[in-house]
Amino acid sequence: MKVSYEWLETFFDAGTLPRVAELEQLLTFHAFEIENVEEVAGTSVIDVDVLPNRAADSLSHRGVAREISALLNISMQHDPLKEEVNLTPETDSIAIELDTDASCTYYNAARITGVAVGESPQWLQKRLEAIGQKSINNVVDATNYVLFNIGQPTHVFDATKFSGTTPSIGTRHAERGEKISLLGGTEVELDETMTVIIDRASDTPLAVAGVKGGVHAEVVNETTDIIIESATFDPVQTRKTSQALKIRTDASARFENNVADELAAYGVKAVTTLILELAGGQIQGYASAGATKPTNKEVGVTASRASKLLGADITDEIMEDIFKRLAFSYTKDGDVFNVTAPFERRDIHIPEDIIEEIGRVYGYNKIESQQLPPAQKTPRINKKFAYAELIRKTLIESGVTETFLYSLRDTGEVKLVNSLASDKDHLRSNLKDGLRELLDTSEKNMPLLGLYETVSLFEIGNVFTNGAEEMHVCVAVRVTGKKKKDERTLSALVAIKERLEEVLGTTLPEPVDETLEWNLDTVLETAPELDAYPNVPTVADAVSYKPFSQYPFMLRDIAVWVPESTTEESVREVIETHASDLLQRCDMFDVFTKDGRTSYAFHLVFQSMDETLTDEKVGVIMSGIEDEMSAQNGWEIR
Amino acid sequence: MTAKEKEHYIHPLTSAIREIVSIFSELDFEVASGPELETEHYNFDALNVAKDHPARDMQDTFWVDDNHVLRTHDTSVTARKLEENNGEMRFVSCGKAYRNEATDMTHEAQFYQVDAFAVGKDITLAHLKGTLETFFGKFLGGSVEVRFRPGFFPFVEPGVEVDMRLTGDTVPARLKGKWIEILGAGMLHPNVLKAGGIDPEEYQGWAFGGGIERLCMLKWGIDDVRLFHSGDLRFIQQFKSSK
Repeated sequence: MKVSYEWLETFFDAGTLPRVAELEQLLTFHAFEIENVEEVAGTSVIDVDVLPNRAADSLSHRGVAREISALLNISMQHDPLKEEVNLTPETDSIAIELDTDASCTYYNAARITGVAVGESPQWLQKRLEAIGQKSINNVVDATNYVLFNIGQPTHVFDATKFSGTTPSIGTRHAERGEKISLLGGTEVELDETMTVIIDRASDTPLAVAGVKGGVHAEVVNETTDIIIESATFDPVQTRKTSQALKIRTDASARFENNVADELAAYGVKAVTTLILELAGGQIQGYASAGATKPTNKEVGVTASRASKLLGADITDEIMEDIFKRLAFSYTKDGDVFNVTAPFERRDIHIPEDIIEEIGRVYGYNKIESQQLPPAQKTPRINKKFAYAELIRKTLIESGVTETFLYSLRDTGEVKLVNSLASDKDHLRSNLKDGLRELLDTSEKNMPLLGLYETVSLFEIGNVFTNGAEEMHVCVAVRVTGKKKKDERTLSALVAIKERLEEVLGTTLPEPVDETLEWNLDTVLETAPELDAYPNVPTVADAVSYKPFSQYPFMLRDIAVWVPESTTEESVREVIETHASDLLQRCDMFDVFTKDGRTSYAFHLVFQSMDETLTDEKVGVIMSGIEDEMSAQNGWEIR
Repeated sequence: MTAKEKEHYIHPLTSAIREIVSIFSELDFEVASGPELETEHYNFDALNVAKDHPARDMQDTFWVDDNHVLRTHDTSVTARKLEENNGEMRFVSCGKAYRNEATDMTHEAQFYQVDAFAVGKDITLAHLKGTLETFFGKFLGGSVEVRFRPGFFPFVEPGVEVDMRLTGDTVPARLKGKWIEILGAGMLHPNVLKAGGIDPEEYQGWAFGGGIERLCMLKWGIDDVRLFHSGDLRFIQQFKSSK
């Protein structure tokens, strides 16, 4: 919600509102997060992220001003909700009949004849502009002004576009497939879960209740006779309608947050008053239908309970001071405060709600941190976690790397009702499918990773079968390149399996196709309890992550004869000095000595952070290395 | 085997979970876990999330049938533990949760959460502050300041947003002296205690929950949350083990 500083000032005596930076701090630590502050149309505009439980009362300038008034203990000199509202004169020039089954429970209307639709005065245009609203005309702007001023959405119809002599407003469920053209030109198709405001005489839909008005009774430049609507709509139905139509408006955002019923009367009065001022005309009067629901109930709370929950010394005096600041009315019965929140606050139902108010206004920063006392009982060891850790320790020590993969896959026994994508609409029923795919992608990156023979991976995670969720462990190994691939993979897996069987004291299933997977829950049924968590390593302290290149790498091999006394390091130094910073890895893969000479062979991996390397570019680097090697005494490129 | 093939790596999530468990074990917390495919009851009802709360909508939550969801938070473990136990208790859980939302560098459809709660006759918001100071100090190193701002989560009342700030020589420059929004917390809502069969007149307690990937990103300077679940060895093999 964008809040104009200049607008906020209108609620206070001149000069009493602190600077915007102070307000920002104040609201952040006692009420709402501030998204940002910017200068627009000659004033500071604060973007306030109102919390969901406070949306009913605080999505308005008045709401935020009320908050500031409480937090700073400065009184509001101009509070539009302070006095009870009086909707007089009544009129029978509007008829209202509500469908008791539809989402509208309380409806106020006013009729003004003889208005002159035109441009809004500068002050109003500027205020709306500051908070990102476009000025349309004095009538529409008046409704927007009231919306952002006190939080009550209202709407204006052209009274002459109703059938019959006396405009008759009604509500009803929309019919499936019924269409309505909305302000701004979009046509939407409705269904029976939605409510429409109708011209009862012709049964024509005039607006989607709580969401947006239609074009049928739109106010245009020629309009002179208007009906102002200020009603209350069911929050859940409004939200669902708005979601179904994919239309979220400033009005729907407020109705779905359950703005107080009582606000509807303030809304119609404020808009009527403002239109009469800006567009002239004669008030015919007001009409209402339906009723407001019961207002806030009394809640009992004590200072000792507040102190005990917050861990701070909250006295009766602190409580009373905060109640007064918040305009909560209260009586005291012994040490119990019986507190009633003002009607616009919809979030105060239980003592803890009041304690939250005490905590935030008092200041969470004044709560001194305390250490928990020692617990009365020693925590038990979580068997599942302990064994998973034991398995991790065993596998990591065997050189197997742990992975975490997605539970959402394209196949499985359990299907989601709603999914992000068709390749993620099932829950995995095993771990091996994911790990096998990962072996494929990992194999492509092996030289970059400095792996030239084996990739071995494991995952411990939950899988889902019809009616069951099980924790599985899966080890996947691939030995690449050479012959007898299957045999070497199998022997690697068998070695891991035997090690695990020894540690777990149980028999595991045989590996199948590069993977060894089993149900840990079943194994745990017979496994003995552990009396402590295994002592397993964590990431080393010095590690910090570095982004890796998204471009392909290039692998080149180089082998060189050198005098027997030449070390691997000196060969490596020649390579690294002349390989440019595109060299990512330099791994020696072969060394032997013959006839007084040693042969060293290296894999060189080149990769750029910024581009795809070309053969030419790497070729130039390789030539440079070869030239340098050839220039060394007794060195010969193989 | 090449030298690289003999090196050992620890996935940052595993390391973080291990460190979290270790810190909270020292504070007498028991490790808890629960199902990822949860009933609507433990994911929402028992946690005071109203029947018509937007979080229950299809757009935010993965549904499997009319009353089962992929849990949207690890807090459902809290609901289960409250029900299984009575009186004083302390639990920490680190588990996978799911949100039906598009992924980008800071959002994932699947992520890990740490949830911890402590219940007793005199467990206060002040204890929460102290516990979080200890936790962040040990997990991230350095001196820690913790501050609370008003926050809203249906399962707690009062609810707070927790920020922390690290100072000291061992703190990486990218974190030093900056306030960082880190998790949500508060005092367990009486309805949540009641749903767990605990008398809110006699017992009270705090709870907090936050993303483990986020903690890892801060700790190791990781810039993309999607890396955690990608299985990409170019990522995992940057995290060498401490021994």
